[in-house]
Amino acid sequence: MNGERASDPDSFLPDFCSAPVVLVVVLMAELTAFVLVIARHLPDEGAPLWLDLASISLFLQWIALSSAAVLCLARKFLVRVPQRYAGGVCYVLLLAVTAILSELAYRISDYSGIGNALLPASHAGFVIRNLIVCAIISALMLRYFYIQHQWKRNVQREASARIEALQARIRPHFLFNSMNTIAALIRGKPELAERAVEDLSDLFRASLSEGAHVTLGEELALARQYVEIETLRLGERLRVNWRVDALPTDARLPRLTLQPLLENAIYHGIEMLDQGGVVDIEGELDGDTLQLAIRNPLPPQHAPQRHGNRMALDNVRQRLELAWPGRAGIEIADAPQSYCVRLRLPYERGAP
Amino acid sequence: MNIVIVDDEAPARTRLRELLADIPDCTVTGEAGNGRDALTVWERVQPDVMLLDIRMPVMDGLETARHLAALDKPPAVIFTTAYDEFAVAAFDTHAIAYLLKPVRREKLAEALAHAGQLNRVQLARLGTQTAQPRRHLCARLGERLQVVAVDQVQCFIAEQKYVNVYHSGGALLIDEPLKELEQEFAGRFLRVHRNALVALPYIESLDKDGEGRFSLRLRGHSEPVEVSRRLVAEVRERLRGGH
Repeated sequence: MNGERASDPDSFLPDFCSAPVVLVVVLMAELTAFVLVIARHLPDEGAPLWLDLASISLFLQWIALSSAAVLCLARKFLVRVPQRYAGGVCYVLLLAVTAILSELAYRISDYSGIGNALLPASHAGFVIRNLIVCAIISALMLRYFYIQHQWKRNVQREASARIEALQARIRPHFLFNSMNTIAALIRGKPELAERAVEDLSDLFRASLSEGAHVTLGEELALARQYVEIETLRLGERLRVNWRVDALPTDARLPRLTLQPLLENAIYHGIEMLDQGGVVDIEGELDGDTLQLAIRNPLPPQHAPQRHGNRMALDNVRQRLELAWPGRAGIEIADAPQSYCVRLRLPYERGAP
Repeated sequence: MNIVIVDDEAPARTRLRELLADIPDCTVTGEAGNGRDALTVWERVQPDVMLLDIRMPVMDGLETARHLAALDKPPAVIFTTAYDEFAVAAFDTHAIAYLLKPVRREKLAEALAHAGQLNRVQLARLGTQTAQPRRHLCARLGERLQVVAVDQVQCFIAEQKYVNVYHSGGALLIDEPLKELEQEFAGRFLRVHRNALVALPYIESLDKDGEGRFSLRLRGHSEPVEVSRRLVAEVRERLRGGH
């Protein structure tokens, strides 16, 4: 968490130097002034309500603008403080500003007689009351900024997750290799070429589909179609061992959870082996948890995993996390000669 | 024009063969499923042109081209790829011929008409952009090529102008400076003497003889390799670090 800049999107504190934020602060202060004045004056009383509102507004705006100025100046320092402390530091600063200005106001008023009528008899009582009001309002305000920040961040995350999902699904490598295979089959084995086009269409239809979830049965069918296309291309080098009979086909899971993992297994494993190898797909239902493992052999001198692999994995992980926060997961076992991805997700029945 | 097709996917080879059948004056004289086999095929048929797929098991197209370029009479090379952003960008920069799959017949004919030998300068530049250590070493004995996988190599011992490569299947002689080998394979090989690089995974023990001289015993290699006095500390350090 180091190297944070002033414009750090991670910081939930807004920029108190900017006009829109100052406007929010002024509005909040003025609303507080209304609340305080209304609370003190019953509607049928003929007391000088406007005069009261004027002096309380003056005092509150004074505090609000000074606070904004202090937080604006403190920003350089605040962005360097770890997130969990920054809020606390702000809170203390706000209370300090209120205490100092209350003290000043009391003295000025006492000395000059302005607004004397509003002052309570006790000096300490005045300052303490202001501090309590400030403590409550500041807490609400910081909480508001925090929640607003979280909300914005979630919106951004979801947007980027969607984009990544699209990118991860349509792998150019796979598309062009498949097209090349089809081009090769057209002359000699037109019926195989025809089937490949059909399978490829189903895959792309699924990847472009809007619906986020499918049943495990549908996902497995799609994965088998994907394997069919790759088998045309890789021939006997690709062998897939499906051990998924123990899985409930009505389980719900994010669309294209298995296929990208299978694609990784083939791209980094089977394709890089001269004699090919076996991809093991194994699934079981353990209580109300689905366990799925995809295992592939690796070439002897396999290069460290490129970012392409990570992207597909992160994408699947993200989508599982969105579907079942904290209840689903991916584990990776990266041995010298084999690679295994284990999925764990709660068993929920989806629509048939 | 004699052409060899190198691609790990049978349908991809079929397609190129069919396209070439339609182009006049072209004969396919050989095929291979990876770069290492391609070098063997080269020995046998010495083609004019090699169509090299980039992504292949055992030895990829780029490494194959590096070994080919070191020959006295290298063939012309045309790379083929379905999708490889980095390599394609590099080829464009250095005017190296390539074809995108699925290959069009006109483009193939055009590429063959202009096919030229890759020179070492082009490949060296390519090397800095798609830099990956070779996975094989290649020695020439006249028209014969000897290829050995880098993970089979126990040590490199320099002897005047040449470097002896000792591997699990014997030894061969290559004409490359030890310094460059040291840089290329920095993660795997350790300099232990002015004239010696040793493969870390093959080290069995560091021994000291009666006269205070140090040497390394390597798995599968009978001769101990001398360690120079000033490098002993570093060798110990690397061995302790579990390489």
